[in-house]
Amino acid sequence: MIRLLAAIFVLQAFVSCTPCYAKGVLRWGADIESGAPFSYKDPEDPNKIIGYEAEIVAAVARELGLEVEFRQNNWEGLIEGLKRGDYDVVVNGLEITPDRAAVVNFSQPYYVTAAILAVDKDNDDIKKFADIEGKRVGTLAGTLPQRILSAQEFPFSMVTYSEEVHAYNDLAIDRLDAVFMDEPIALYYGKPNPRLKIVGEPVGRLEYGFATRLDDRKLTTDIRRAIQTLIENGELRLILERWGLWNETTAKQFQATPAPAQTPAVAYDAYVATAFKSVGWKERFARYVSFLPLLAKGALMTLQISVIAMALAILVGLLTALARLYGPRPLAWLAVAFVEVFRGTPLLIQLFLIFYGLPHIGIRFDPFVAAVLGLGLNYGASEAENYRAGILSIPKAQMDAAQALGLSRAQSLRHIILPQAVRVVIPPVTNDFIALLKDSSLVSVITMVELTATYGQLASTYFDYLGVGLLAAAVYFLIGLPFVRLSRYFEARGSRHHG
Amino acid sequence: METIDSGSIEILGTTLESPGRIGQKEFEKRAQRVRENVGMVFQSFNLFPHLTILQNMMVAPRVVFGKTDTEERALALLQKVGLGDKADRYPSQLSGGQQQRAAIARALAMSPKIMLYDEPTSALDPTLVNEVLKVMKQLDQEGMTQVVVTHEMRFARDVADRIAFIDHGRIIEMGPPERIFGQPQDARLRDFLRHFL
Repeated sequence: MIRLLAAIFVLQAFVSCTPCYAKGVLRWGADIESGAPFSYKDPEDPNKIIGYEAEIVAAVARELGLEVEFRQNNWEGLIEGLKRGDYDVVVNGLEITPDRAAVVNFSQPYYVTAAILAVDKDNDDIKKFADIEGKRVGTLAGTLPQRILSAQEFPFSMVTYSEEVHAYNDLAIDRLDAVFMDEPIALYYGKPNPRLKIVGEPVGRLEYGFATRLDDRKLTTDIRRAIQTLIENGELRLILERWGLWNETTAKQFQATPAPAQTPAVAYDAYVATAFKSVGWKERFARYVSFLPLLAKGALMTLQISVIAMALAILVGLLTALARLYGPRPLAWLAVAFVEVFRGTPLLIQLFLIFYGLPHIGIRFDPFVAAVLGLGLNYGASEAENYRAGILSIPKAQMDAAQALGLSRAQSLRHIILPQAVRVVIPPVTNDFIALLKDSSLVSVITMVELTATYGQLASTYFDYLGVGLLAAAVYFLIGLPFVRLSRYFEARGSRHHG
Repeated sequence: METIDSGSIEILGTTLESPGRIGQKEFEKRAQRVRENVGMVFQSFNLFPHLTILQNMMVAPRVVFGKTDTEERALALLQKVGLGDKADRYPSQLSGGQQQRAAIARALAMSPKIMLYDEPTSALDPTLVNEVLKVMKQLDQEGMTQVVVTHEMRFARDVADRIAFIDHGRIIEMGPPERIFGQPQDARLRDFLRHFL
């Protein structure tokens, strides 16, 4: 067991490398769940990542003679992941702001845009930005548009989202009066939606840049030079035009003449055609079948994380329970403290602390190890209580009898008490495993692409939260099922001689 | 199982004193030496419910002495206590008397020099008491030293070499059965015998 964990740690150590671009690889971090037009799964082939930023990153990497390697992370965690060294560059509609520029290096803007309002097609109250007074307005967490909203003096209620799709969905079903986001997002989610419309003048100025680590000066300079080349040879403009994003502000920034777009927005048209096309049942079914390999891959990752985390939890739980019951006093106190702290704080916070907090004091785990550690320690705390209860449920007379036969305390535990306790705790432990299996969905926040992350990416690609959601739920159910059966079997076998 | 508060006791050449005087480690070491040579039978049998009768008998020799070839001997002991056909049963499948005989066999499997019994028949249905006493009598005839705490007066009188009458943790009277039963000196003992005979 310990050897297995050690092997995983070693394996993970080999997988990560900083900086990787020294070996010809540019590791690019982004959140593909945030979707079009930035970077998202190709609806035609969910194994491919497309988007105007995917194309820009590819072009920059080509200029630098590097291969692109994509790394998934939640948008809110992108800068932390960069600092951790999970990837070397962030390109994901990240606005260049003074406070961000204090913690990362930015390239020059590769795109300049603004924030804009979208409202219901039949809404005549909101015609310009000032009209949102007293209304419910949705925006994206951590973005410049959110800060623009926060800076307003007049009263209104702001609702923040982490996925743009959900905000526009809520607008369409009247949970919101307006959505205020980056213009590219409005262009892709608001404008093509027949129930919504774009209103008012663009507000503010959003400059998107490549973000790199502060100490990666060489990479920063190289990227700046590559972007300059792409601006001068018109390739960057061509990409933006194909995605229907070319605008006057960017033209001014690039000192490009003539300003109006020269190329038809083919990529934009292709996106609108697939995203807002109504699909027949037959086609929908075929699409779901095509999801299965990706969902299976996600399920396998979920299962891997869960099984290894549970093995760790059992080991930690057993040692903690023994320390608490039989250890010398300081050790017993330590065990109590461990159980109380890890049971009494949310798993999500523990995952964030392990993944993003520990690197600040020089301890850096890869996502897989962090996920296993977080789940394993959290569940280890509740396992400890299970085992303690299980051990205490064995009559003291058993220990007396074992010791009277000449077994030492440790031998009595190992050969007489624990085997009996195991039978008692199998049902609660199986329950815990199934709970862990479901809780493992939380590790999608620390860049693990498991079942829930796969669900999010597929659902946001096809705007199909119902169908994909049911599919993912069914997969969770199916992978949990064998373990329920297994526990019933053990229970039946264990109780046979105890009636 | 219990520690010593004061005084000392010598068992098979090993002197046990309170852990306060000889240190916890030394006490454990000596107690362990005693346990390996003294078999113990409990009022409530205390067989291990997750193991078969045979496994109950083989676990201690295997763990303590590393012996793995004890099966034949264990089966012979079971034969001796009249449970030759129950080797593969689990404790819950046996009657109380059978369980107590199995517990005696389990203690014997460690080849003890002395056997202790803590009210071995008081948890048993009266009809099952005799089968256990018979086994103990047989051991006595083979020369086993046995110390028995019991309320079975008839059994004590017939089998014991020496009897100690204990009240509230103190030895009131000690001697051969003829004297304890024939000419009891202490009033408490006389009173007790009137009730139990």
